[in-house]
Amino acid sequence: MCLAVPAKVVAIDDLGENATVLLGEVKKSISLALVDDVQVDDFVLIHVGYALNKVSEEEAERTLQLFAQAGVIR
Amino acid sequence: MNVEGELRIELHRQEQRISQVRILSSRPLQLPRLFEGKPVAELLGMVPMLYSVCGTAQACAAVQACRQAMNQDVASQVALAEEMLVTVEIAREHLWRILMDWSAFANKPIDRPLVASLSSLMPTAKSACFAKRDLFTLKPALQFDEKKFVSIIEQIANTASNAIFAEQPSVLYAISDIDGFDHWLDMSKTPSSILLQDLRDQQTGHLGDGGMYALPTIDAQIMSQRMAQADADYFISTPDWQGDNYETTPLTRMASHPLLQQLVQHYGFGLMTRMMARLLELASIPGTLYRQVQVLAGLQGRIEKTAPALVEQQGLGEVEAARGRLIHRAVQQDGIIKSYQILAPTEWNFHPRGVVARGLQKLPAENVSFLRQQADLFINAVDPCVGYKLEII
Repeated sequence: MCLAVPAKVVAIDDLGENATVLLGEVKKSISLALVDDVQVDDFVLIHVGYALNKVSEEEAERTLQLFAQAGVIR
Repeated sequence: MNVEGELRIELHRQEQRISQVRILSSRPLQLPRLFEGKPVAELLGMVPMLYSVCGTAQACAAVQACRQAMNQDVASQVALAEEMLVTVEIAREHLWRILMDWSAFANKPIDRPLVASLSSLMPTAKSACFAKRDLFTLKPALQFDEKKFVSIIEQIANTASNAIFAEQPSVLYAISDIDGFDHWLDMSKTPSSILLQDLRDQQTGHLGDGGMYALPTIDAQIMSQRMAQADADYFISTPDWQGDNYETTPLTRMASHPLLQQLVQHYGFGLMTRMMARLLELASIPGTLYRQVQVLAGLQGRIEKTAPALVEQQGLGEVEAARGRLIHRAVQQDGIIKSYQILAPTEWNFHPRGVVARGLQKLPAENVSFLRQQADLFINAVDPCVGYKLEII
């Protein structure tokens, strides 16, 4: 069973199939195959290279705080 | 930043065979300690937020554990509706992985709009059962919208039949012998059936047969005692039961299906049997959900007595999730979590001597490229969700 981490979308390719997200200070390319209607500046939950669903900025921040409390991220 | 952790899987080759399989995990299994000291209600809100991949199964196991720890009864309709939501999640997970991964393995294009359309399944199913802020709480009020829920069942059935089975789910589920299976496979032209045709025609369907040792039903009190022992962290990271390694997968749930029993005679517990188990489980879900909708109406006013707390203030939640059996254990005092643990199916299946290790050990190793391809396929056939890094040495 797996964790998914929130990340901010900073770019989307021309076909709308892949996005670049910001994970901490690291940029990562992910697939948008599982989600509809993602825009730059949206927050998405990512897992094994896929965006699973969109979340609000507040949900993303709250989740990242929980991961930080657990010591999983700094 | 790698929050998810990873499995590193090493295949050591010697004289054109696999001499050793090593599985090393960096998965963050101690995360549930975060819940200690938190009120039960806060924990129930945090679990689906943190464990969002199979968030419905996780939330269901959490609420079961907490209800038992707090001796909290729940309406039978609520318990059934929660079970139905987990079943919808299993369907969505199977649909996602079959439509994406199997298409890629068969070198066929992925139907992206269809895959993306599945993202609405869970939100719609949840809103058909409960108010948004009253989902997987200790004592939620059911607000069942039958028409909306039936539309979800129809979406699952239509997607599966049009894009995967080329048949109605009930027709696929009714196939009970090899002749019927071969006939269906020859008639079907979907990416997933093309992948299965390749397995059959290239005689690779038996690859990865390391047997099947199904995780038995374990008495909740005995499991809770095991998870309370001093070496619980070790047990949760590399679980065994009385010294034996077990798997918990769609195959172990579906093993009694007559077609699978025949496939075992032809393919053992290799790729074909495991992949068909997932298809048959998906095919069974619309019928299961329709029956549950009927049962739900008959449960009006009944109360589900939660089993008494195992030991005072302790509870265990057990849910069959998409990948296998998921267990949560909660200990609370005055509504505050004192201890919280999660035992996930991944740890049984990716145990260093578990089903993945045994199956990989059986793969032919003459050709490295073929070995990598078959290893990816076998790992996907057991658990298509977990992130891993495969190294052939």
